[in-house]
Amino acid sequence: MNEKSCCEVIGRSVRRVDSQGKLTGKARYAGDISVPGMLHARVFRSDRPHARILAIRTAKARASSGVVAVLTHADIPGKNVIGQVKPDQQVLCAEKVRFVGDPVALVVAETEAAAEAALALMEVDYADLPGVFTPEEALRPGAPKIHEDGNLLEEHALRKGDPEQALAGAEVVIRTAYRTQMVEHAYLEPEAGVAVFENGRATVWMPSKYAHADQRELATVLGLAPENLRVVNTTIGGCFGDKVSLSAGFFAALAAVNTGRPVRTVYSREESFIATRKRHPFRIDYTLGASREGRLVAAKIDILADAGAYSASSPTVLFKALIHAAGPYDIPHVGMKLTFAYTNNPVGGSMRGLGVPQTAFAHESQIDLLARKLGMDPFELRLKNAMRPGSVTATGHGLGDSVGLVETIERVRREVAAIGTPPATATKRYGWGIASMFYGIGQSARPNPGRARIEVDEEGRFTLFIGIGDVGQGSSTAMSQIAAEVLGRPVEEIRIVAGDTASCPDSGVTAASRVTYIVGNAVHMAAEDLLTQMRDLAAGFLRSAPGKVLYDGKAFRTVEGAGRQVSVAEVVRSARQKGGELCGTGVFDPSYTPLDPETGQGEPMGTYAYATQAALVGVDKESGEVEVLKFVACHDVGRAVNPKAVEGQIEGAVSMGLGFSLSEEILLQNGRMVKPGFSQYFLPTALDMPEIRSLIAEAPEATGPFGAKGVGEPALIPTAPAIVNAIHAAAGVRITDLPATAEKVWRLFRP
Amino acid sequence: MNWKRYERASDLNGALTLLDRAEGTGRVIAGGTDLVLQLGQRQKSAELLVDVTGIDELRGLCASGAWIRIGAAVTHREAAASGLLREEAAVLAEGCGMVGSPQIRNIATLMGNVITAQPAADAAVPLTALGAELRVVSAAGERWVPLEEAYRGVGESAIDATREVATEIRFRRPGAGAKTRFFRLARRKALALPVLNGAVCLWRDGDAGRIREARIALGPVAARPFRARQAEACLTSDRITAALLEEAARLAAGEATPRTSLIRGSEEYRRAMIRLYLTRTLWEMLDIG
Amino acid sequence: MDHGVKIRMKVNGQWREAETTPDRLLIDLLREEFGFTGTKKGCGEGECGACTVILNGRPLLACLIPAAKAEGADILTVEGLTPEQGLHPIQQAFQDEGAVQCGYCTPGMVMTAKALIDENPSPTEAEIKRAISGNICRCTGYTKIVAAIVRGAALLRGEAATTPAGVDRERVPQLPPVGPG
Ligand code: FES
Ligand code: FES
Repeated sequence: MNEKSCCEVIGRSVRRVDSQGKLTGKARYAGDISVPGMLHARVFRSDRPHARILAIRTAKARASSGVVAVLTHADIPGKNVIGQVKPDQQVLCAEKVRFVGDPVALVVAETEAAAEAALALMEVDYADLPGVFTPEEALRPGAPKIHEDGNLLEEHALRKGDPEQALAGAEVVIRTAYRTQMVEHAYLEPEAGVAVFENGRATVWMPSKYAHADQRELATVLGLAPENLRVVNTTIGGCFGDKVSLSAGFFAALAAVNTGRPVRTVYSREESFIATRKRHPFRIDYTLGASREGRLVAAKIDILADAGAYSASSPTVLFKALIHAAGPYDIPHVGMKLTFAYTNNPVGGSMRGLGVPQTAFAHESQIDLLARKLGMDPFELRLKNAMRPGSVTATGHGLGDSVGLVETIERVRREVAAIGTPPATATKRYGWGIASMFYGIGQSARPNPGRARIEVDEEGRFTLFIGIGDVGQGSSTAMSQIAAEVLGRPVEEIRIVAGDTASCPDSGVTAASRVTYIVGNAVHMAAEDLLTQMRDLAAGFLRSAPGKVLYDGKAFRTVEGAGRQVSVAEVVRSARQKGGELCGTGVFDPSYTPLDPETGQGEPMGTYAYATQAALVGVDKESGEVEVLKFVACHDVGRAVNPKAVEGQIEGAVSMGLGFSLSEEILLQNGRMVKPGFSQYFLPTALDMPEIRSLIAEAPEATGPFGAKGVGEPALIPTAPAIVNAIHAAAGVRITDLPATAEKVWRLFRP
Repeated sequence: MNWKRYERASDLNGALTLLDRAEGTGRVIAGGTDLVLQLGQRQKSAELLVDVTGIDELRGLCASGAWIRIGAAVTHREAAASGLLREEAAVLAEGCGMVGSPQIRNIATLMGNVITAQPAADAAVPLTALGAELRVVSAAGERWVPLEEAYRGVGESAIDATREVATEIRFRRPGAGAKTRFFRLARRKALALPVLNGAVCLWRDGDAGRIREARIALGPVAARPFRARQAEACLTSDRITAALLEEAARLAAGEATPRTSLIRGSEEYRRAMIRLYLTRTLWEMLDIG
Repeated sequence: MDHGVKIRMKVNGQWREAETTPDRLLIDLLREEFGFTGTKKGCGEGECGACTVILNGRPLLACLIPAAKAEGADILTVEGLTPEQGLHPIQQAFQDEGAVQCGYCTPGMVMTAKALIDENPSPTEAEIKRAISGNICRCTGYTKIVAAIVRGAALLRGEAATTPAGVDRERVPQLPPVGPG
């Protein structure tokens, strides 16, 4: 029985459910919240990269006008340790600081200005320790130890087939060393949080893409039972993987618990640069072997990453890199070694793509170099080796049907041919570069269930509860669309509560592009569950069998009798009279098999997204300046739940990838950031952006909600290599070290 | 606590009196886009800020006789849009149009761009090439300061904003035989201080085959906007040929003193860019190539 | 705390006064004293445009302006732009074009667009890009923002704006007639 045609809401660019508030200024970001009697807390941070703390003297700061309290490690009521994967970081350092920006004390004052002024009065005696600023130095024997158990944070290998032998026999071998830089997320909203502590219970409002995890971790710090800590997600002004764990809300909560007054903490932009996590810089040694016909036979990949001072999400990044470093190609023999080392640099965290933008830069550059060496068209070479249904990944994962890579390559190829390449001028050369990628949706090889709940009230109105916050990408809209589709209602009529630990189920984290696929499935199941419950009740009402009851979004009626019907509201009321609540729940956890610790073999992800992008650049042959003129991006998203939102993700990711490839870089001198802030961190402006043509390919994923997979991170992954390959096509030089600044390009022109 | 008083002067005398009474603890503020940040970061201090942007006589941008006069309250936006400047001193309008962002240009003044004393300033560099001078007034009287003498060091002006008010910028109208042009290299297309900027003014009336006078100002390649005098001399030394222009650009690259910086690039690259951009600009201005 | 100076200005059509410290910045006065938190602070250093307000007709950065400098000024923030019912045409265009993601740049972007269109009712794409070149958006890549400003200008000129490409704006699910399955 087909009640409604799929799909009324899925696949439509409905308006975002949250844009009205954001456009009118009514949306509440954490820094917009004011509570009567509120204090302001500012973090006093280490200005040393590596030092032992001898004494923390707070008296002067405490005596400063308007200061209410100065807190140190001694004032932490619970455990002074955090780290969601490996607990190796303190909330307020007690014995040692490990990077410039490590928190040492918290100044709480009546006004922000008073707190700020008191920061300057803090006195800490340090004994400086020798610093370690590159992963190579960190792993050298005898290097100063950053953590008790040494500087090796994590090391893993992958082995498929016999890469050494295959490389030895390969007809063509290309070996290149690549480097990527440290990158800042640069979400436009600096971290903020507001906390209230009353009667032994704390409430914290903060941008939290995973309120339940923040609740668990922060509760241990505050020494509270998790049920006595409520984390409420506020509107998130961007996060791109950051705003996790130790954030402004943690400090606000610590201050509130200590002073008994409401507290707000807002980071300055400079602080946001210094204190928060960064994209890991990678060194990649990449050897690729192929036959003369362009068939890839083997890859050997060595990766060394700078993890910074603490583990944070390094293990997550490492596994994502491992799973994807061989690229979206069927390569029979692959060997990898990935090493993450501690340094006294800013902490490496999760950032859009989780290590895969770095590895994609390497493998797509390699493919391009190989095409040149073989004299092959780079589209052709990719098509020849592209993953298809049934292909086997580097981890030995045999792929299902939803593999749209070939379509993305072919469509980009047609589009590029249609646009053409401008002729060279006296000073400028033009060229197209392309790059492809695949990206596993969700967290790697571990359970990461998504949960959702839908309630319906006596007026027949639906409310969707999910634990994840919308980081700006539009997840709340997409989730509402999925619920609306199943429940046959307009999206505007689905109320959504996202990320309040008091009412929402734990949906896992907004990360790894997992929301649409994983939480979307949970929402889909919850809506189906609710509908089934309602239908069963309605059938009783109508004295019919559930299978004979039709639903039109507002009411149920029987197949036979045109006149007999019962509304959703009536169903709910009658259920309540009988003491029952109608509530649909859903939980989805993608299937996986763990990775073998020795060989890295397994089926780590539920599904993969695919993409191909192409960039047209103009290169000034004398100055080395690069301008990106046009961009084509084709993404296999399984099913575009909201095409306009998918386009928006692609366009935004291209701008981030453009910054990654050409201009963005955190510059450090002995662990100290050069000019932290926006003024010398070159985010693309409107004038730097090319025209972008977004194409959506849909290879439906049978296990995805309405076939959907995801796009948030994939859109960024091929951008930098597409641009770098375009520079080669235009100017004949190969950038192996990001970002491709004008000076670097210029140097390659010199003999 | 930052400044304790903010006064908006309605006439020059009022402003001078306020500064005088503050005995060195007052400071002139115009657009304030640099000063507010510097005060916030404690790089500068002031108890009293005297806002001079409401003073009518500082508002004008006009030609008077042989001069173009620009009041201290004139913003970059006004200068960039000025028909007079576009017509007679395009280099200045172009430079002003590159400062910061539209919002900054709407309030930041040319005078501020000079007094803040940054060698990369996009208005000050063309003003240097135009041979501008500043009228500086204090309780002690008034004086004219050639722009090139208005600098003490990076970020340090020779004008004492705690006691003096710089009221006006003026320069001789370049005249009919003049050509002027601005160039700029930056890490992105807006909101970025330049890696290199330059202003070139050429006069070639009389013998069409020669340059009568040349002025080249460059930033940020020295502690202040830098006049490439050897290059200027070279340009007037002989008939215009491609070789002459290239020689001048080579000289300019040699006499400037850019330093290696993590953000702006190596000394070598920056010298090469001076040479490249200057060559290109001169070629374009003289229709060679 | 050294309070003690009174600052008066017209914000969103209404005269308002606050007693504050003399060194208060306009952004803090608007947000903390007057409660107009729609104006965002993205950097506090003049480098992002999130704090853009229209002051005496010009888009300016509230984070760089001493509140006292704005004494007596006429200021429009995003709250003042928003009509009582619904959205201003520029806001509407942002919504229709999908130009809002995290939304943190949005109020500043909308105010910059408003100032541009007031001055130039038919801006070209190039003019729009230049006008918003001081407004950083980390999320959208600007494409949809530029399209929204083109559309907003058209709406304000009273031109019947066409539905943006690829979007079925008004479409709500129409349920098919119910019949035997
Ligand atoms: S907050 Fe004012 S420009 Fe960024
Ligand atoms: S929408 Fe997030 S910064 Fe623009």
